[in-house]
Amino acid sequence: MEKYFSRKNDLFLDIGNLHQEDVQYGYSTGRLAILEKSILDKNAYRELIIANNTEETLRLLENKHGFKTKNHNTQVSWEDILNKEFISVHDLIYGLAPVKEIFDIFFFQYSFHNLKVRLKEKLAGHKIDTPLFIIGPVLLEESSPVLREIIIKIEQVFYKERRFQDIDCILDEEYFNFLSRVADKYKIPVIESLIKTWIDLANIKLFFRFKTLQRDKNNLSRFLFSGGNFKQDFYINTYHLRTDVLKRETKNIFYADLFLTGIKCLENETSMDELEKSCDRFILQRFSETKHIVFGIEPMIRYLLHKENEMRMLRMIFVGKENSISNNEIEEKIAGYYV
Amino acid sequence: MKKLVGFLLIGMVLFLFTVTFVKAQETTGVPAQTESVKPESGGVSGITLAVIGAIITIVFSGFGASKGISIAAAPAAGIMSENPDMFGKLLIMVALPGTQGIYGFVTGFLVFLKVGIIGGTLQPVSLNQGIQILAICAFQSFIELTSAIYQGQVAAYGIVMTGKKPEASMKGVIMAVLVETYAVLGLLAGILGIWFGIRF
Repeated sequence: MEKYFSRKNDLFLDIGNLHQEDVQYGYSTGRLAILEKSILDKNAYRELIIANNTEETLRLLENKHGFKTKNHNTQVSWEDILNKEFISVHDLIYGLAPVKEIFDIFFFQYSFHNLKVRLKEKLAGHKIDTPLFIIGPVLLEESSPVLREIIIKIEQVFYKERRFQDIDCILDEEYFNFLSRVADKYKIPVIESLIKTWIDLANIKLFFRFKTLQRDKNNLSRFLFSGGNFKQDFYINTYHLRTDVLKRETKNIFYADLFLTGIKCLENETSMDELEKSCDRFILQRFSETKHIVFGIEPMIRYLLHKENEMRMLRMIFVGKENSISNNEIEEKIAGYYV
Repeated sequence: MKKLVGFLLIGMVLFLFTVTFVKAQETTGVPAQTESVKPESGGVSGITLAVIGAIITIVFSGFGASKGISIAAAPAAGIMSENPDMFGKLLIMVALPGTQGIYGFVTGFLVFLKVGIIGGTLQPVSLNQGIQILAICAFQSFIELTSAIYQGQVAAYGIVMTGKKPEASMKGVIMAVLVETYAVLGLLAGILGIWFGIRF
């Protein structure tokens, strides 16, 4: 494994500026080029939205987009269908990946979510009404020494002040530490850059959430994650700025659009949903620009992120249909996720 | 790229070393090779250099061709695993880098024919002529090797494009054929140089 990802050049591949490990992604790129065609587009979503009810939406998914919505001729719930679809994507990605551990970084979020729920249940002493994910790397088994350390740390902090927020805070930090560890191990530039961007996006969301709640600057520094492209000082130093000054100060940075969206939410005193959507779209857009790459990990990441986005949008459509939300409202809700 | 430059430099040094060695033999009175097929006492003969040249062309062109095919075949296999009907459209693009191997073989064969190893009596190849044949073969093998790898890369892009849009397959083929042009020019230069440029 180590040898495989040391990015050693092959003398002859070097002629074509290729790396041996990137060439090994050729097969997956070809396979995903075909599968990518079945990812739902704007028109497909519109059709699903204007369907009269959940059953019709499911029928459309089955007949036009190849989703398996029945099990031995019995209709399966949309939640099960989406779960199954996501598991099949998970299995496909792990099946194609030359080094499976790299793709753990995309599924750690589910493991950490499950861990958060389990820990909160344990510490609260009762069941919490939050569903668990059925996928995610098994690295987070309680027998793992790394995890045991984290649990001890969380318990110590929790029993001091009894704040569930601390559990989220510690686990989020550990989550990014896990990701950074994988990035450090394999040294793949695109993965390193992706993790840094994830950390930046998490910090930007925190920054604006704190600003909305008008919380203390010192509190912010406690929660900010390290390891991103922007140091924590950047957020702390710009925290007190007025929105117009903040707009000016951030107009030339890489995340200018996200700051602008956040500032708009602040000025209009609306929820930060728009910023959340923009952050999700930001990574997807960056990977959509890698369409020309054939030899590399990018096509696999792009497919995975698009599938995740598809699941998210389908979930919104089904929830909307079940709660009799108007088609226009559903369309508005998912509009921010189109890439 | 650094390795490629290193590879070229080593090749050039070896080539210059051979030339200097041969020239030194000529000036120090070690039996001149101008009229003989075999060296009279050790040393390098013209025919040896010619044979080395032929082997270099065949080996390096073949290596480049197989590397190019392997680069193009990976995405093609991925596409065909999902859609086996695409085989016909992808085959041309996968096979294109293989032609460089044939070009190298043609030149190598021509050298064997020219010096008389195949189909006739051995020709009196002088050292200078041997060096000339070696140089032609070395440069042609370099062209075939590099163009095959680059063509494999271009073909792979065309293959992925065809996977996404099957109607665009000819565009992919044309792009890959553009790289082929230079491999053909290399072959042409090799044939002209060896067959018409060198007279015994």
